[in-house]
Amino acid sequence: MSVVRYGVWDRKVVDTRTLQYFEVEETPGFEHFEEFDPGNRIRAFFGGKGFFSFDRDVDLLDGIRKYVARAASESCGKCTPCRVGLPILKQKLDELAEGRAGEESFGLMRTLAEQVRDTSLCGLGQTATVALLEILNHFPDELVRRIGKQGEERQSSTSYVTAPCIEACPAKVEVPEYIDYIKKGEFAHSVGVILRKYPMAATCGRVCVRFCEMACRRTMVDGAVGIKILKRFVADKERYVTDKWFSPDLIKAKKPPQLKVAVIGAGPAGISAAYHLLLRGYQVDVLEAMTEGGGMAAVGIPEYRLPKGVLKLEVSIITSLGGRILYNKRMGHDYTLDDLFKQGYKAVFLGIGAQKGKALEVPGEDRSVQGYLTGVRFLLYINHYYITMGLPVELGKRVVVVGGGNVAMDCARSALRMGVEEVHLVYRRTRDEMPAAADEIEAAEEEGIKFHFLSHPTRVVTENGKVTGIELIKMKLGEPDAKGRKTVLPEEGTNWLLPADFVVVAIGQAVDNRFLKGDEGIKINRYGLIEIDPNTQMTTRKGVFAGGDAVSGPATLIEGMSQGEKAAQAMDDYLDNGWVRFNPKNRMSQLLEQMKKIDTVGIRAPVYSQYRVTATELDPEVRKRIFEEVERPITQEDAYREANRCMRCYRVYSVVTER
Amino acid sequence: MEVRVCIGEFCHLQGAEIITRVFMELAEKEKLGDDFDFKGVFCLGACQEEGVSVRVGNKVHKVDREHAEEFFRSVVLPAVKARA
Repeated sequence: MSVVRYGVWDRKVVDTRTLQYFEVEETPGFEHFEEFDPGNRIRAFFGGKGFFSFDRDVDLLDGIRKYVARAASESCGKCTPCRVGLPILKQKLDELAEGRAGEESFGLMRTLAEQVRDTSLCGLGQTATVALLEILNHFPDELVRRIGKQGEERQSSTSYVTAPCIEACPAKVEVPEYIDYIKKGEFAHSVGVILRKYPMAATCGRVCVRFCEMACRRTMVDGAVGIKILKRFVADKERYVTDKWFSPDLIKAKKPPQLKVAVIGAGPAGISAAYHLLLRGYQVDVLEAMTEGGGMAAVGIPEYRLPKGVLKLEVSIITSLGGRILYNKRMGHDYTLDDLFKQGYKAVFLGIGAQKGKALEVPGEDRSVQGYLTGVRFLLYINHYYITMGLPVELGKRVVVVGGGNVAMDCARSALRMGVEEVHLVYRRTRDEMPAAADEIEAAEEEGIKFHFLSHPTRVVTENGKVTGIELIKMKLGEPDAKGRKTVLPEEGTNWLLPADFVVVAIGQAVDNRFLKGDEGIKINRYGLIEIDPNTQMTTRKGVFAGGDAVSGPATLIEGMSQGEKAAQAMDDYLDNGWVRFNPKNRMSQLLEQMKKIDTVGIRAPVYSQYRVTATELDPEVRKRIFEEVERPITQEDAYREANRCMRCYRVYSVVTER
Repeated sequence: MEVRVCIGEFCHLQGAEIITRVFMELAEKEKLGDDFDFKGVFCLGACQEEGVSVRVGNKVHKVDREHAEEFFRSVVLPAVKARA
């Protein structure tokens, strides 16, 4: 635990310099703030709400000087206070450090810093001078004693520019930057910002769970910026970028041909890893068990949310860049990990997903009975056989789906589109506790799916090897558990029978590790997931990396893609040097994660209220029988309007370290 | 003639997809039209044996993916034509 020696955060002043270490237990402290990288102690931290010093001898003048310099270099130049004010402040701080100015300049600096804070148009300028102001107001002596003593203290600074939406995104997509390009009408540039992180922009613009929107500060004014619909808008608008722009000529520095890499699984994680490896000049072969690419995005997301053509085009970026996708290649069946190394692959990425559906563990549940399937298999078969191959599938008249997550919603809504007369959804808690996205639940209700809340299956009823129904018991909510989630208890004697021709159980997924024979050197942890080093994504076998659902358990498209990128970076290092380099950006993100407990969000500057643009949807009566995409695209005018709601909440953070 | 191919977990892994593709292609080539009522079902209750379960009329057969065309020509085609 690092103890704060002095500092100010969010207008709260801490100063323990005159106390002994044993007396300062009550002051704020941070876990994992001891070292930035191994053997490199953190001495101070600067951010948009103030600063902390963990070391009484830190050169604060040097720290704030570099912090302001970074902020000045990030200014977009659109508003005068930030564009002109920050460089002047930087110059004044330089003069102090070099001994060309003294205490008399503090007054001017204070006035200017206040103006920059109060009159800048976006988050960058509004926060860039806060730490400086706090030092001038509360710890001016720390500056005075460093005047003219530049370079006397051995320290260095690492700075990082981010925004709440960027930090919330697992892939750290520069959201405000691509929204800025939309404001300017430069749509291709906007897509370019997204493509820096992953190849599936249009796919993500349709199915992302939007961690960014949850963190959007605009929520406190009138609702989060519609980041997802903006992403879909630019990705659709600039479709030619995906279609025509990628070619092997784009890759300038090609790696030697013997450094070839195998990626197992053409899902979001595998495609993202392959994309980044190709861009780094490697020869990449993707081995996919199915006959189409996209993994869970292809087989687990229904056509009405993600049309096949959209995904297919984005998967084809891999082949456009000169990579190969080899279909119908099942690991453990057609090849093993050892075979790949024997064939000359120097590193392997495992992006095999979590495709095994969890069972209810109740009597009558038998995977060989007719009319029973797990959710993930159900979606896989519907997508693969019905949508892709055009094979009609018999489900019967009444389908019951068990579960309350997004997969359960997808199953229920897909079943309806298969022509089933009645679709029932059984969930053991209430609507409020459902983990599915709120708009998915609403859409399912509109389409006429019948919900049974506080109900849980006790038995799958079968007759002559066929499902005929499901026995349910009423549940009641109990006390919240350690995580704050209410427990549920069955009410004895309330069992009832819901007749059904088909039961789909969508209550979670695990890694299907049948492909690993156990002697490959890949360790599977107690949750049935592949064990990796979180810093490098490397598994317990040297040269084998992993990411996506196989590592994290069933997660989202964006998490899978971000892990693919992270692994590609680590694989590049590994193939280049034999070890994985330290990544300061990732480390800064970890530090900011720690800051969350004190870094509350608020809005200080007045903002005009402007309501969020929402995409229109097909009429429920029409859409419930077809697989046509439900969400309609937004117009260019709406995109401009929505983009202008972004407040550009950029923040500069910096750490001062020993070396 | 009702022809059902099992697309359950076991049969999918055994190559139900290849059987489906072959049957659909051949049905088109032979211009069987509506006489060939071909659908997917989840499980025909014959997972114990190797191969993909295919029901032609009332009888369930097990078909190896390598012999899909042979099976179609020797069993499915005559049955569909006999019914038509």
